[in-house]
Amino acid sequence: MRTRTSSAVRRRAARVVAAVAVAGMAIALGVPGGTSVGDAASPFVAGGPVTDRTPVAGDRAAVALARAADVRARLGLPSPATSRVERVVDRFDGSAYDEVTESDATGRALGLHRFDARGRLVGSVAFGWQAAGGPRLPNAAAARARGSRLATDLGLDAAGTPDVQPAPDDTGWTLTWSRNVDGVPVPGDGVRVDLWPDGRMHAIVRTERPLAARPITTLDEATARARGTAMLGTLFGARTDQVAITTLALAWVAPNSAFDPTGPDAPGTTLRLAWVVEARTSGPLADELRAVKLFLDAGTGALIGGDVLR
Amino acid sequence: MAPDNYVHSHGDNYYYSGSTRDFGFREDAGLCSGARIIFARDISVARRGRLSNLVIMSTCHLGESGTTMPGAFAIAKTKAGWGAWAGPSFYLGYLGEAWDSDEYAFETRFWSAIGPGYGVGQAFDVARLGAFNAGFAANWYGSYVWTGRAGPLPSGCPSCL
Repeated sequence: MRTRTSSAVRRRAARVVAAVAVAGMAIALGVPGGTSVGDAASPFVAGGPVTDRTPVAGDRAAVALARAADVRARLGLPSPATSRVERVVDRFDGSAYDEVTESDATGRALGLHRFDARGRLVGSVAFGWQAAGGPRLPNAAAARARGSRLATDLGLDAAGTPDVQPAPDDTGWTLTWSRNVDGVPVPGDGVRVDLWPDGRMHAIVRTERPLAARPITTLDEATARARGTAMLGTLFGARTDQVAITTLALAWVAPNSAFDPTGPDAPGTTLRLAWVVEARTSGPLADELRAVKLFLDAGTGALIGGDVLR
Repeated sequence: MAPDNYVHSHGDNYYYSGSTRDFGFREDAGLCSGARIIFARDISVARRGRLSNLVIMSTCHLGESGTTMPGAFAIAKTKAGWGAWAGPSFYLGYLGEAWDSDEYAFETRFWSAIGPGYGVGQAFDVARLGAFNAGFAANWYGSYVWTGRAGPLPSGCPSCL
């Protein structure tokens, strides 16, 4: 007997429960309930396909294969026995790219490389989880140096000093260059390079989602705080004394349906400038919920999404 | 039985008794506070060492290096990559505090990747190719090369099919 339940179904149910509490408030505050914020042509629906894949051939495939060969050479990856090129439309991310999947003689996928419409490398991974290899990088500084060289060599536009974190169970390093636009962070966007302990590439991902126009006027911090406080009061009712705003800052965020059960199942593909209100819980409420984020449109103060930390 | 298990809840390394800690998660009891904690050691006792195939702990903390939760489902805390085999098992969890949106995005990509020819390990690698909040990190134990299908069924159980 299988007891697995679709994560999408479970997650959707959880979102519904969370959303019911604030649906009324959200509507009152002008949340675009039911309005698609994703790719209107093929919106992602929980439980449905995430990607549409189409084989690519001819000149276009040749270009992608040449790009993959260049990446492979720069990373020191083995030559594949076969390669497959597909055009992938990602309904969840609202993105599209050419994906080259490389396999050995037995048909086992060795890795993949993704290239966006501008031909830029936006994703790469070496499969197999072969953490053991050559001499280990001795420390975070060595990992930073190795990852920075790789990023530069691959033309990843990774400017500045990356954050470096050890991977779980001593299986390598993760370097992250976060994206900022005019001093405003874009959480999730930027470049990430994962290295095995000996400095070989495990994975690369570059994310640069489109930004909406900045609002003509931006709410000041005091007004945003007041709106956030009011929303938290509506959200938590008698338990408001167990929630306190800890951070309040502008950021480019993807609108989502965290508090709107009728909304799209995927985050918006165009980021909007928002005041991000993060509130932490205390007391009995913290038994179930650690924190909540509210995304308040920087121009109007409307709730355009958020997040939950259980 | 060799079932799969999915939990989306509040997870942590809680006090079990006195100063003793253990990893666990809050029971979904429809309560806003005070929900019972399900500890790894209690699951282990109840399951009496029976293997689960695919376990996903969509919570905070239960993917950390010190987690005891894989053992509760008889999944060894090893990472068997290419050329190795830890049985038909895969445990997925997250490090530290993980926001719902990151877990949702990661798991959506994970399930999607398993279908078109990838095993659980490759699906894990593919799922990581996305935009996440700073500090988000997933972890796994078990076998990288495995389909994710439940089984094998135990012997001597005439009512299992």
